[in-house]
Amino acid sequence: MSDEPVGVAVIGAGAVAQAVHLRALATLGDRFRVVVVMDPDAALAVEVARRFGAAASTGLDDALTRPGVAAAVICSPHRVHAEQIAAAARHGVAVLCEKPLATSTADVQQIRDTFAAHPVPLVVGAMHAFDPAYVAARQRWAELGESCTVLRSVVLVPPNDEFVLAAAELAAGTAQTPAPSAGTPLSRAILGLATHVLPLARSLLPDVDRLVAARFVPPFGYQLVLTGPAGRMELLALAAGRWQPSWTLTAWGREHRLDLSFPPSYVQAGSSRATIRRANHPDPAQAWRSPVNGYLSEWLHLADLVGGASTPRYPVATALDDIDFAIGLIDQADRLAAA
Amino acid sequence: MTGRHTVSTRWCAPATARRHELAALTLGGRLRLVADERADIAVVTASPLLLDQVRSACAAGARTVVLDTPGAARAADVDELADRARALGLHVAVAWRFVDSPLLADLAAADSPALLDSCQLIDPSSDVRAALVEHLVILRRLTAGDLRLTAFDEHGYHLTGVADTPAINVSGVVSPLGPAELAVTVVDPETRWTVRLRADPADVPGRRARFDATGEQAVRPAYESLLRRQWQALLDAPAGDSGLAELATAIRTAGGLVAP
Repeated sequence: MSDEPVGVAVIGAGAVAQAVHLRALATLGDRFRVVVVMDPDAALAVEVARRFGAAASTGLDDALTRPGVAAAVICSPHRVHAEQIAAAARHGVAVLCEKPLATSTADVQQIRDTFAAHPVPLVVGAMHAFDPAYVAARQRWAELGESCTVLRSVVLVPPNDEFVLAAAELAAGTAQTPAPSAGTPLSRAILGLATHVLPLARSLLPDVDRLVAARFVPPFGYQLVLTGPAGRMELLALAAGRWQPSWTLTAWGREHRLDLSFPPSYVQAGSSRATIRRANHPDPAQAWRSPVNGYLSEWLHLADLVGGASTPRYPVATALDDIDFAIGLIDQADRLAAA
Repeated sequence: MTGRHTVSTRWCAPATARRHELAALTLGGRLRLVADERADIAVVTASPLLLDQVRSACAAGARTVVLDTPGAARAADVDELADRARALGLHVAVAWRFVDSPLLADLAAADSPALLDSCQLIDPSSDVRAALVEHLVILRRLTAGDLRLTAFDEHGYHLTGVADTPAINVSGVVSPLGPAELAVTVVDPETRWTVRLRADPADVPGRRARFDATGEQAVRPAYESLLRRQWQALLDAPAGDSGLAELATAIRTAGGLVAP
């Protein structure tokens, strides 16, 4: 293990890089050092790199092979995630990839093959899965031997631009939201929004995979309902309006209930509020809250993985299963609509 | 209704009787609980014996029937009860847990909602179908959209809208983590409403909040149980619409959804 900060290549210099990751890396200056900012838009790469005292590049391989680069954060359009992950792995560079990890089963297989040949640390930027309060509550849930029977995730948030602009003054020419994936509106909502929730939902209620209701909720949202022998999962989201955001997940177990309330994307205001209550028990609910948010937590975990100080909290196989599941939901939704 | 009235809970399940007795005692100046069946108000829990019990209550002098757990009734019995009520001049008050909350009243005014989400927590000892029936009545007052049942099992139920707009998501969750509770969220492009109601007869206030671009406006909490309000309404305006037709429709809808 080295005490040297981990050198980072930022791949894709858009809003997510500027408003989320470069901000988080600046906070974690003792653990990370931004070496290079890469973007096909040379002017954008130069401007963002200048702000963070890094070099600029327009070439992926060039950025990944810069001296000192040990990790890359992939903030590029979804459709190129798989090939960029593969490039980083081939160069032995650890990866933090923004969600969705992939957009097709072919992408998933490419990543699977890549990691079989070039195993490097991988963290998927599903920040709520790394949220310290969620992680602590999830561990307690497991210690209690609890199993979820009904899970409801309800995400009601204003569009991201409000939070992006509150987080960072974007460099000229930056699109405020990532380029959407191809496909139907529902597939874009699943890949762009539901992938925040699915790692947590599937961890708490893993054996539920039959989609019984699916619809796109305009202007941007989804309703997904899954059932199975273990229980029922309801995933609901709507990004619209200018009202106060609400991002909740509730899991009902046989004797306990887990409640999570998360801050919106881009917001670095500490962790979620997590509570576990027990039925008919006089003790107060157990509650968790941390000043560390999910973004910082995922970066700290990557640093530990690169330094060999930790085992993956969210193994590559699980990450691939989760994105495979999300892509499978799109296929199921298409069949449901056709029926 | 004026003056002092007698109330019998002779035809109630014990737990139901206790809830009503507690509420009636808080209106003690106008209501007197009696131990036997001779009373002018009878509280009856819906069951297969409903019509016989109402007949007995009327024979014992009841001029008003409070129908508790209405969703557990059979639709044909409700129709028959409505006919008898008309013939006998009997007033039937449907004692819903949540439907009559004033906090739900103007949610229907939401402008072009994009999403309607509601979740009811159901005590494992309760009748899940009865809870579904009440949920349907609440929904019918909020939206005319057709519904499709996607789950009905030991964990509760789930309904979704047939049409895409608004997206309707209705959930009943059987959980020992009581108390029974109803939450309703209505979202339109300008406003997000949330209402949360507790079913127990304690004075836990419901909560209604309206969120828009200016922030949050919460209704001032009313520390009064819904059941007490229902009794007050019954005493103040006993001749209002009984809601039996609405009940029968919801029971038939639930029956069609659960066992088409």
